[in-house]
Amino acid sequence: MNEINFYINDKHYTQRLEPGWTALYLLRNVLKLTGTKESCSEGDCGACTVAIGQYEGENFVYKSVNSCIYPAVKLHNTHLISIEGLSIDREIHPIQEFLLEHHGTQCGFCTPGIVMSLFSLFSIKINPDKEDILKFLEGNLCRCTGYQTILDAADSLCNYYQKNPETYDCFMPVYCAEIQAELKKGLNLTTIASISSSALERKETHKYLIAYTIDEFINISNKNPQAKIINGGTDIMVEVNIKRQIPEELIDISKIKELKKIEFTDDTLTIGGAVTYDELSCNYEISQKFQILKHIISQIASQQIRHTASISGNIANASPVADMATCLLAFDAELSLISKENQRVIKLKDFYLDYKKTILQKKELIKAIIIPVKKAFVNFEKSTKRKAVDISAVVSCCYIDEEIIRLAFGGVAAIPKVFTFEKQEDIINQLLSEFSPLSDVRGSKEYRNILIKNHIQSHLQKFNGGSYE
Amino acid sequence: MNKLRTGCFRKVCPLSNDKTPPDLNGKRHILGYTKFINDEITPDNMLYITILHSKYAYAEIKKLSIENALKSKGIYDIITAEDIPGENQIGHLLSDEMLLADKKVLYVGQPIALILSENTRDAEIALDKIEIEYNELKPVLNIDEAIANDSFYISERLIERGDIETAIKEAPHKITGIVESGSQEHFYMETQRCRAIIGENDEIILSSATQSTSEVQEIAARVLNLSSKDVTVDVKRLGGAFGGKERNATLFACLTALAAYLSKRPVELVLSRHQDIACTGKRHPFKSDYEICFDDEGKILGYKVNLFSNGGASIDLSIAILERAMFHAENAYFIPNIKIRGNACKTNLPPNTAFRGFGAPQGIFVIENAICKIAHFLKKEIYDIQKINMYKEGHSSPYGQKITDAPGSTFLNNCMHSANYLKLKEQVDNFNKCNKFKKRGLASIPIKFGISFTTAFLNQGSALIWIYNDGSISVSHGGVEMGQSINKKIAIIVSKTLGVSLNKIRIESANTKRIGNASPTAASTGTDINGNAVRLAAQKLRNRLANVAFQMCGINTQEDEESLNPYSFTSNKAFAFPKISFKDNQITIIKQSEKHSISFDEVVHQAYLNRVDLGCHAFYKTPDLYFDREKGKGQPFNYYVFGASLVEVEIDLIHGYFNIPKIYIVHETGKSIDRNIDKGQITGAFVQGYGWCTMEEENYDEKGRYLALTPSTYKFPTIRDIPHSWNIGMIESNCEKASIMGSKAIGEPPFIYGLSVWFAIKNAIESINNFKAEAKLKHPATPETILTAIEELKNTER
Repeated sequence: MNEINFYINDKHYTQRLEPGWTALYLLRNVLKLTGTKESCSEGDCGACTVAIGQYEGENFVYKSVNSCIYPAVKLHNTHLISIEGLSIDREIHPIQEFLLEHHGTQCGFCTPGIVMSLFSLFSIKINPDKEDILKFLEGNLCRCTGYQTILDAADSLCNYYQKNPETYDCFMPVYCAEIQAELKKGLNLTTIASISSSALERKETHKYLIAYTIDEFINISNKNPQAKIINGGTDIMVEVNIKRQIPEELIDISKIKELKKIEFTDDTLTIGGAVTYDELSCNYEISQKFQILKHIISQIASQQIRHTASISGNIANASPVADMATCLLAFDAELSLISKENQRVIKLKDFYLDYKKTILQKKELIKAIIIPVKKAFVNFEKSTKRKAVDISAVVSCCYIDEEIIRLAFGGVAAIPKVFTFEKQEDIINQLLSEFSPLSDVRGSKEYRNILIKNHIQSHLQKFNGGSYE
Repeated sequence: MNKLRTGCFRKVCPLSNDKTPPDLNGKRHILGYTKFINDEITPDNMLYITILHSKYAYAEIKKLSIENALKSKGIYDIITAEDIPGENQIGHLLSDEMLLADKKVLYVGQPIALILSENTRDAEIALDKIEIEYNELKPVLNIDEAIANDSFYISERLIERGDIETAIKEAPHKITGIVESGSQEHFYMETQRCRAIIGENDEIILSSATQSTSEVQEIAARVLNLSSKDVTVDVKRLGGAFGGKERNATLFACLTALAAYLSKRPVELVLSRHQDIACTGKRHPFKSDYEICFDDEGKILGYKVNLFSNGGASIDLSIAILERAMFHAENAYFIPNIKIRGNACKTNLPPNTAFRGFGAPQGIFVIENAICKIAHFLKKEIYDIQKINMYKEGHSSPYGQKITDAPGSTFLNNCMHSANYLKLKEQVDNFNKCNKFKKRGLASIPIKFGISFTTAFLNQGSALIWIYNDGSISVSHGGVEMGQSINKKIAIIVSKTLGVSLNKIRIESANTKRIGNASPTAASTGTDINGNAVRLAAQKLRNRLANVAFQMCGINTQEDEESLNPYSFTSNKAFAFPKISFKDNQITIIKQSEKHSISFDEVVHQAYLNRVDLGCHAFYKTPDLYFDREKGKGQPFNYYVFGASLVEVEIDLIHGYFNIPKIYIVHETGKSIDRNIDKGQITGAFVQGYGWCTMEEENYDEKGRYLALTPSTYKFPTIRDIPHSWNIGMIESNCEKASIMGSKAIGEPPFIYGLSVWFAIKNAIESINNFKAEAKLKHPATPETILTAIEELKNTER
């Protein structure tokens, strides 16, 4: 049993936390910091956004996350800043001042989340461009303002910093430096078990285990063979909130350094099993050599989710509409899997067995995703009800190099599927017979059939020098 | 660590001069200090409510046994219908809405029992132990089923003018059509909630997230067999409402009151998002058929329309909503022969309820569809048809209200002019020629929105002002703050009337002890009715202070406090000489070119010593409102708000996405009390309006269960969906009929502009085949319906 060491705003806490608590529950119900609001409890509205800071190499980075689905135990050795933290050392923070000036609040319920998303953005970048601003705010729903005033506030803060860069020095609350210095010392813990009762159903045996190396993971998973792997928790915690039950044993792999690597060789890109969407998207080499990935990621989820969710989580979750998995199928990616007994490399296309079923064994971990890097044409199409922060009705990715054409589709069958062709002409005839889309809340069968046709058309149009844009 | 930082941030801070108190300008929201219900410190012995909801849309409850559940761990009590001390009835127009279902359930999600516990997890375990058996009956869900089953709330409503049958017979052209519009979830960010505590002498004190303080008070008292004096409702603010807390909140407030009354402990009820969407009513879906006749130019000669709304499982506000749809059925157009019939269908959905626009958007959507059809038929532009049919001075509405100050056509022309319409159209045509997979479309819409509760007696407001001995001011009024900034507008009214700075004023919570019998804060009338009451109270106090100030300067005058004209105090005959002004916290008297200035505080203190009453209640009723429902004639509105919009939309033919390159709005605000607040209402309403017309889709299955219960499936606009360029003109218009300080109501009218996005999408789709055929676009225009309409259009071409 361990106590968790964390900072919230200007205060230090060493406290026992329950495995099922979310950061939001900790803030609102335990610490009575009720500035952070709860509205949807599934990471889709952004009202509960906070900034969580931790070391990434030498840099201390504050990332916006949805506290309603962020496991509180993950706060170990981090610094969480909530809305209350911004005006501790001053009357009003620049972000707040600009929002106020531009009338960026009406009912006020979404406002704390919007402030914290902007805080995270500006803490990372002094001069974000319009796309950055949209990226960081697309996960914050507001039902009153129509957003324009919020956008205006962000824009003018940007302009202000451009003209007065020296004032950026006091962007960070004063207490941050001290806390960051403290956190540098760091302390690792491995097991967090529950003791007291909470709003969640739990048993004495509930465990939240943290692995720091792959070896540790293997050890822990062998001792706890039923344990479920958790990384960002953006899927597991939604389930927890709905069912109000937490899996009895969880192994957190997000701290395993070996799984955080992004490596390029001459002909492959290897993405570690705990790399998040944001880490991949921000990687310098990716932005130089593999821009399409960055482009694809920008269309997936919200910034809060991209900050926590991992690429391999999207694969292991085995959703039939998994955007990233669909793309990786088109790339013909491979997975490197590891467990005590075995280490194996398999093709992603052989990974999925049936609806939500994969070949992944208990105690087995996705160590890395290996993508062949070749000069090729790649195009990604995602169809949703709403352009941003939505789950696909149909998603597809087309890969064409000198030898082969690969077309991967999600949302058209029980699992994401990939097809290979030699000639463009073969595609339409062969493909349509392969699909059996269903009707559900995201769209009817007929609509999905239209989308399949349109996606193929768009892929080929763009490949053949199409003037689509 | 708590050093206050100074000097290192902006030296020139525009806000440092802003004396607006932080609770009025949103500063507290932005700092995260604002407390909503459930943010306040929790009393130690608080109990939480977990609701047993009906699983079925229509069923008999054959058995309900709570014995086993009561024995479950951590359960304090379980409340069912038989525990209700008063009437098990929360309906207000008809007695058709039970607080807790007993013999029958009428919709999915209807509350049947309440579990009280300190820990909601315990309650969830107990929930499964409640034994309940239903006898499932066949529900009526949609409008067609309701018509087939003759399931209506009241007999058909009718508004009629001229001779429609002859007009249709003799007209050169006629067209018929059927138009459907969809539901809309309010998605206020703060879900339904209430906290109840027991005060002294068994008083029930409710902190409820409601727009209707007095209704909650009255109905809670009825349910508990108490009288209104024993129930206090206090509302500090709401985290958004949009109509969804006008009637919907009453149910949850009464459940909480009941639980507190029975348990004698503090009780809280907070709905999860999932619950909130599943069991509360939404915007009424409409299905309407029409016949419209016109001449070669497109001048409308007659219009016959049957509006059917899906009212859900209790009457709620369905009749008033239907009525407003009928009052707006002709939108901004003069139609000599017209017959508007309205029916509210009784179905087994959660009771549909008020939502910004209150039926008007649904009614307007039908006539605009008809105009679209006329334009197609005559191969003209929609704008041409709109233009020649606009109301003119001297016209009257189908229900007989005179259209005075009718600038409608000016607004539409202004809007088209400011958008440089012809050039824009040329650009759009060019774009469409050059792009195969993207198409653009344009659409304009004029609006004429009637302001007042159409239920005339609701048009009353009251206010209570106290000026304290130190010169600071407490203001209570009947309106509820829900993000529309009514409190700031009220403070501005007081500040201007008494000549004091805003930081001397505190706007109190909406509380039934201070303001009794308050009308709901709804129908865009909040500031009109309550602001006028506040103005009257402030004027009376001003007159009392004026008398004191004159005395202090040695001038003897006795003025009747009621007699003064509000805005030209100094020009009033009685005060022609000497003059008095209230400004900048000073009261200034000018007598024979001599100027005496006394501070406001000093005069107040002297007034206190002189035993002058410094408290004042005032009452306002909107004049000259009446409507005869039998005849379908009257003057239901105090005035109309006019405006127009033109929108450019771009659609993507691969995915069915749309975006909005440009929106032009010319909107009549009158003399806006605060332009920034009004602008925020315009942008917010527009976005919510096109949300309803595009991505916001709420369907139910064959069992009457709503399908999109969370924001992962119910989609409304994000920051990426807003127009790339906004052009908003706010027009003062100097309309005689405008309300408080020359302003006009702002909450609902701009919602209608959102409809233009739907028509522009339709226009863009039709450009694919050069406007040869009309697109069969459904409402809402989701990517699915857009792509389906495109497919259909292509197929008809072949």
